[in-house]
Amino acid sequence: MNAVWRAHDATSQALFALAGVALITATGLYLFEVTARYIFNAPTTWSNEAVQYCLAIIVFGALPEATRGLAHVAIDIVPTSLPPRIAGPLMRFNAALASVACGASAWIATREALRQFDRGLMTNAAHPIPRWWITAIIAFGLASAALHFLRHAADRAR
Amino acid sequence: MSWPILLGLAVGLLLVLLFLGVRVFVGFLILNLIGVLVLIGPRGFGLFTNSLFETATSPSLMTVALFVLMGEVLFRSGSVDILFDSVDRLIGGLRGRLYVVTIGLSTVFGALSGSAVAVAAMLGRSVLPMMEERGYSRRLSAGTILAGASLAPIIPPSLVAILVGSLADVSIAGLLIAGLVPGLLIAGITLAYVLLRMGRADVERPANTTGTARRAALRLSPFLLVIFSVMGMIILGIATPSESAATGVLGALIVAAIFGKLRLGMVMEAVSGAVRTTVVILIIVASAKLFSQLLSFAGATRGLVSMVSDLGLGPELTFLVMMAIPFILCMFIDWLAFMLLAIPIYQPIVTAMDYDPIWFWTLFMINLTVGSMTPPFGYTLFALKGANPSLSTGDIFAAAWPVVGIFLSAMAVLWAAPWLVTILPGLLR
Repeated sequence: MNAVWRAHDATSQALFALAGVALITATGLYLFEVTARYIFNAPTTWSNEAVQYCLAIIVFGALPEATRGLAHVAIDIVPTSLPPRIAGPLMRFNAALASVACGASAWIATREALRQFDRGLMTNAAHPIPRWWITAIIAFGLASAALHFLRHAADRAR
Repeated sequence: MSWPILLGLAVGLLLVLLFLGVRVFVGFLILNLIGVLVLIGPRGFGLFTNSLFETATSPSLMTVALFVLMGEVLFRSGSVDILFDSVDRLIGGLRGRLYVVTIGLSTVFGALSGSAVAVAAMLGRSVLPMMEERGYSRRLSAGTILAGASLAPIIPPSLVAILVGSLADVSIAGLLIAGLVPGLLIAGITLAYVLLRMGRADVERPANTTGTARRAALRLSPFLLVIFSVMGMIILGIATPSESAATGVLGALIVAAIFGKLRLGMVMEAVSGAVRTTVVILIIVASAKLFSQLLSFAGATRGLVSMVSDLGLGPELTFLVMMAIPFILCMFIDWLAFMLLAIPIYQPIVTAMDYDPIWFWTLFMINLTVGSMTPPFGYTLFALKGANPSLSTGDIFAAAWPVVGIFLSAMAVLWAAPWLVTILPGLLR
């Protein structure tokens, strides 16, 4: 089982690195667009669209690693002020609930990605790409986050 | 089920989840999943995925990532240390000079960073120990830092402005620029307050005398490039807010290079930090996006507008109520969670009451900032405490209340003189 978890962690880290590349790419694309438009009077039709897809990679690509590191915002005043025998099960419950919510969302997004694939839906853009590409990233990010939350719940149970 | 009951149940469910310590984005996911099932049924799941899709591909939200990256580059490169030394030198040998340095520095930081928490942590680590060592009043010092840090979400670039603008469908460029005058006004009121409250203990200590004032001004000048790269580009109409955030990143890299602090490792750390912060913020926004559509679907949007009209409170009293709610609630819940919950509810009322959207949402933004420094649960307070654990919670709370008063006074001024908010965005039109 440890090998599976290691592979899961490695995938999360690789996707986080990809999110970093997407951020650098988006910065470069915007700078290119400003230069092309104001210096060469040649605005592009594709840079803004590419930046949009970069954002999807940043948010849902980095989601699993952020979940692995429990970086998400929570109001932890109540759990941290409770005695450990109550706080422990509450945190475990919260992690399990988060796993269910992310898992359900991933399942819905996967069904939608399959539907988009079947129907050949494209993005509404000057240079359309298959819509399911982005939806699949969303689904994968949520599914991986669900698994991380499940692992956190299991870790706390030990 | 009628809309008031549905709305009450939805808000109640979310608050219970958040207080139990459920991650904010998970709370919104659960709320929206249940909302879709109750209001539309499984056929509404497409709507759920679309709301995630739309947020994850919204170009205006890329601005958040890029502004965070700009701040990360400036902080991690150590360029802000040079900024601190230069401002310190320029302020010179005034009585209680470190108060003035803190306010001056915070105002410049406000123009370089959009996060109060980041500035509070930075000033709490660097300036506060120095102030304590030199015998400055602990509470007044902490208060000055809290006030200064809270300028960051108001003075452009502001992450809150981008989020409010994209969710409330208001010009992001207008909202960004609108924060400038209120930010300077608050800085001015804070300075006046500090100078009035300063005690005998806050006597002048030797100023930073390394280098001349001219050299300090020279070392400060590269930062103008960053400010111009962001605000100048927007005001001149050369770049959209998202593009100006990218030019701001370039400006920050150039500043780091000028000071000989541009390293590949630093850039990688900045990118990693920016990605982490961005995902934490934007996953909440993406998860909450559907809530506004569900409100419309349940008839709550229309119902709220007619309810507010029927109450006959008038625009002034309605405004007061709309500002009192975030002020009170943000003492207990996360400002971002509250903002995402409130904007869809407030938006139709703002239109129905015919408020200037830039003016209203700017004051709303300032109010959120006040919420994040109001005891007992303000984030900025925790950031300061985390940066300087020797400060007692009692000291921080006592330091925060006068600052809350300063911000509320500024809001009263901006309510009475709305042109202070709208004058700069007016130049963009």
